[in-house]
Amino acid sequence: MRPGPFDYYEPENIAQALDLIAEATVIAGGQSLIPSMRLRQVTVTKLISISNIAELSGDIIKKADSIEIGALTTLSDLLSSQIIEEHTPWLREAAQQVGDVQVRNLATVVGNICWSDPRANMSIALLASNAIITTINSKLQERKISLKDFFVSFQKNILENELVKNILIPNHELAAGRYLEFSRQRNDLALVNVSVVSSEKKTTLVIGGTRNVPLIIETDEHNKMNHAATIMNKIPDRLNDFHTDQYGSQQYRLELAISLARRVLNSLRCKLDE
Amino acid sequence: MNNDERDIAVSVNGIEIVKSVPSRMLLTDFLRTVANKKSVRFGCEEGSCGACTVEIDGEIVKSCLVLAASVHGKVITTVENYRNDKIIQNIQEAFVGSHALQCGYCTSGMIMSAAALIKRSKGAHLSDDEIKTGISGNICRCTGYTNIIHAIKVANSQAKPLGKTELELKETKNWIGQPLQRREDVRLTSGRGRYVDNYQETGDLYAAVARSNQAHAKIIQIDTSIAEAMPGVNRVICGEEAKSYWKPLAPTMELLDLKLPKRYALATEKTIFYGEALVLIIADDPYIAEDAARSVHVSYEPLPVNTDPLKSGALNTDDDGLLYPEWGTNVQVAFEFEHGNIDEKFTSSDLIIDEKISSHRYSAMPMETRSARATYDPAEESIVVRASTQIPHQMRMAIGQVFGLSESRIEVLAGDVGGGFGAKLSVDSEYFAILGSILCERPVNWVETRTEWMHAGPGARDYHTRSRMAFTRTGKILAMETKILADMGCDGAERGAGIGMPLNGGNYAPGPYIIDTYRTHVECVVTNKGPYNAYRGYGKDLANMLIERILDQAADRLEIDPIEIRRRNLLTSYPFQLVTGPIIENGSLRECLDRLEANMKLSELREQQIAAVESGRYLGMALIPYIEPAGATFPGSTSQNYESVTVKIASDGSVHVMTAMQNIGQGIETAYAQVCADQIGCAIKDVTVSWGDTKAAPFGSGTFSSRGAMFAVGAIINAAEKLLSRIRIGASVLLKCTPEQIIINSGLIINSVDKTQCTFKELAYAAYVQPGSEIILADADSPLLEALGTYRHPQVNWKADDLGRMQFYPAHANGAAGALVEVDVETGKIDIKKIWMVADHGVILNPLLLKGQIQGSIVQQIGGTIYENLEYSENGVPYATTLKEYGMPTVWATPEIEIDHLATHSPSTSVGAKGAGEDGSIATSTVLMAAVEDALRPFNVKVMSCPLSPAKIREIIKKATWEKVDD
Repeated sequence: MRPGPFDYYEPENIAQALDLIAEATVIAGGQSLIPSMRLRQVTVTKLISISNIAELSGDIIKKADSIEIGALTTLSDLLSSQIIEEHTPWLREAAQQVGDVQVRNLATVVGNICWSDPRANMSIALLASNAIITTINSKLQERKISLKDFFVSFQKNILENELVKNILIPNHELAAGRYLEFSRQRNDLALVNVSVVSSEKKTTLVIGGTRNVPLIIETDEHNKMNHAATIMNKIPDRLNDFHTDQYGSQQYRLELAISLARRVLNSLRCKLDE
Repeated sequence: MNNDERDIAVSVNGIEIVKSVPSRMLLTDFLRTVANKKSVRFGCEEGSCGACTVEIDGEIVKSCLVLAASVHGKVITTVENYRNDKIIQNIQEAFVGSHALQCGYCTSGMIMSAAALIKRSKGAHLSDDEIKTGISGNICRCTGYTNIIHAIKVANSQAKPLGKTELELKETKNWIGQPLQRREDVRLTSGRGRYVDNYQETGDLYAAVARSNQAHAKIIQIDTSIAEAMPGVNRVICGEEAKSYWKPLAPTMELLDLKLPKRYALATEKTIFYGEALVLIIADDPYIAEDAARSVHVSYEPLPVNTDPLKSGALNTDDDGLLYPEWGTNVQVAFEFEHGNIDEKFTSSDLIIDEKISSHRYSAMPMETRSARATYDPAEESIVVRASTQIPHQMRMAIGQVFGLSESRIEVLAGDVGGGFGAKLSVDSEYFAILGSILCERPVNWVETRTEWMHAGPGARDYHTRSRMAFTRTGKILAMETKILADMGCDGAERGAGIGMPLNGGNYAPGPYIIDTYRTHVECVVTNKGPYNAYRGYGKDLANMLIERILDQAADRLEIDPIEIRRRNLLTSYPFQLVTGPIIENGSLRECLDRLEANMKLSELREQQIAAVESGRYLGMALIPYIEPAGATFPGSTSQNYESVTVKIASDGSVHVMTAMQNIGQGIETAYAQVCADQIGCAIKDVTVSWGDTKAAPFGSGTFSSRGAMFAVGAIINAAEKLLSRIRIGASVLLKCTPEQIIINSGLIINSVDKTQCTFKELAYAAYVQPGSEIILADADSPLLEALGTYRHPQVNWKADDLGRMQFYPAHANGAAGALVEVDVETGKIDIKKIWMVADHGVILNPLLLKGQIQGSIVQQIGGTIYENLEYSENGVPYATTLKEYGMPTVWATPEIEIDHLATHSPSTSVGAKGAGEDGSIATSTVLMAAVEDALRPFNVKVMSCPLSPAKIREIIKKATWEKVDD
């Protein structure tokens, strides 16, 4: 199958892109968008490619208080980044499980988030990392939004005629993290995925594969990993966050979430003990 | 600025192309049509198959997920660039050298991914995990990936090739039995495969189909006005109008008392499954055709939807849930067989095991979907049809019947076929291209999308059964009864050839065991689902499951070792006649089981299993025998009991074998050349094998059920015998001796007395031209060095004996399969550690190809057992639209595989070969079910149905745990 007709634009700067953005769909790597267009699940009348916008970066930069991932950074870029390997290796674990080499060569980290599928690996790992996204609107005003406030429902987010410029991962408080997923075959879309990041101040566990938006469970106690038990106790209450489909029931997904969370927390505890 | 088009300048394999492209044009289409790079292929819609993989600016991408408009200024490389790329070239050679491809459809993309991997690693050693990561975005349906992984190691200088070249084997006296590399592969690894859609030309038209979104409904009105008004649309035609151009679908089978739906390729009056074709659109390009198909609006009046075969089969005459009211039932065919006093045996037994066993619906899912290109000539009333089919001659017959054309004016051409596995044994959608060409009088292409295959393509398996067996205390089988209900979807005999699958299940369930009392009842029921076609295994998988699963339960209950209970019941001598009639001519069932037990080092595995449980890990193992009936021939069907070939020696001494067997990846181009060189004594390099041309090849039933090794090889030998007598006579004139004094070997024809000799070329020229056949072949039966060879299998019996028993399968390969698995009891996930096979296929024509077939069948069936699923909702809507949703096995599904062989020569085929290549399809589900059950022994569970999906395994464990608590 092939996409329906649309107008295609390749603006060279952000201002041009934002002039066109009303009623438009933005494409970067297009690795989720194009399949949906081909299957005619998504109808696009105006497609704006942001790949040639010089102001948008494809780099990962270590800043004083954060790591910045540019809007055009691909998953392959992330996988080859020394900065990520050194400071946030769980993002690597998440990126490795997305699609395959070909897909990762084009798919962007920001795109993975903007697609807003509650199973998207990078959303789960970045939520656990307390990431912040920077957007820019047609008046060229920037705003910073916590990723936790970004997702609205299945494949819907709060962006409104804006572009995402970058993602910031605050780095001062990071201690350790893990990402783990359960999929039928490796590299498949996860049935359930979890990521946990633990810092001096708090531990954040994020569970994907839910009905609408990822599930976030936080503790802000100060005693490092002893709140694993607290976290585990909270998961069973969230049965209704999950759904039933041909791959498993709501209950099964909840069980997977519990099993993965336990594994992730255990392995993190081992890591912290090292 | 016009934004629905864009000017781009790109470099493709070093050639600069400047072109204005439509915004929506996919890069795959651009490369195939504008840049003429046919190696780049479509296999799916969502970018999961990777057949379209190319390099852009040094990085591999899936070109079907890239817009051509977005590649301005980029440098693109495809497999066709191998001459300028040493790494691609190395990988091609490695793929050829280690039989890393079969149908070749995925190969170009696979090679591009392998090249990227090797380029990235810069000569460093690659682990299996790294190799798998590198190719996990490329799906191969044929090989099971094992040889692909090996070939990448060869290309990276970590391993040696598995096959040998003709040059390396030039001293050989017998080509049969040699691991000769395939001749097909040079073409297939360099992007020169000859698949149907390679023949699209400028000026061709394209078909698309508007399909129903209801599983069962009356068609009230079809509004095609928008489609008809679209620029570029040539013709729109609905089912009712099309009835004046074609007859109902031609059946593949009319045996027993089976009922035929007599449906048209486009639905009329009502639709009977989701995705059924309603309106055919012919347009200038595939984009416009799809737009038009999407614009069709249909109004329906719903009818009751049947998705449950049990309920569907119980419906009566007046029920409006009947798919075909004229049948008065939803049962397409029922079959019963009984022998012996079954009730008495059950009453007097010490143990009865009675289990419900089932397997879900899935599909053969070859990488190339169905497709056809038709060119109708109204002046001649003739048509040329290129199609992706296993059965060119049968297809010709069907086209003749459906369109009322003379078969002699129909030419079916099938070049390389991107996989079949039984799913291309019927004709239904191919008629769209033909009708389009008749209406528009231009060449029309129809290429099925993957979504269309998911919704309207052939399904398989879907068995719901009960198997009941009676035993003595010592584990001796007294009697067996099987009840099989199979879900045909909308049909198993017209759109598909699947109806024989459950019948085979019932017929072969007693298997290779001594059972004299047996009853089976098989019912094939139609439901509102897509059609049901043959799939590799063809019910022998079901037969295996029905008996082997019960034997494991009996062994458990009687506390007999599972291998021992089999040894106590396996046949003891050959030939052995099953209670249902088929005669197993010879074999090595016991020997295969013994060898497998030794190969698996079973006692060591048992120790590991015990140790594992202590650390909370659950290992399980199983081993089972299997039989592989081969060479299907059915009365009242297009599966006839013979095959034929033409062998021609040209005036230059070259030898041409032409067959109606179709190359679908199994390597007949190579194997038949081996047979021909041995039988005629010519040099193998002088043999050419061709296929897929109904005008050139004599009639044959086509490729299925291992008919090549048994029937076609016999036909080659028959033709060779005819030619040899002429060669001897001719040579005796040339070399001045008697015909009996002529020896022929490796291309030389020798007078054994005075050692004078001539070449095939000299002899052929002498016969054709100088001095000519009147002198050279005066005493021969024919002056022509061309011969038709046929082979009719002696061990086929269509005349029922007193008990109503017949024999449809002339030969029976056998073997034993073993598995070691680990089950994660928290998630239900199965990790297959290793699969073992010991297989006996008689004389092995080419061990390289045989191993490849077995490996492929194992991984295919792992897919079907664990991942793949064509499940429907209660409303009759299929859940899966894409390969990912469906669960196509990727390289991660490939376990370690160890294959060993025994070779019991078949007494009833010309070279002693039996059929081969279904081993994994037949035994893998059963052995995995048994191994998983063994792993979960501490939970005391039974595993009696597929799929073994994680959710289901988890369900089984939980149920058992709760039952324990209840106790």
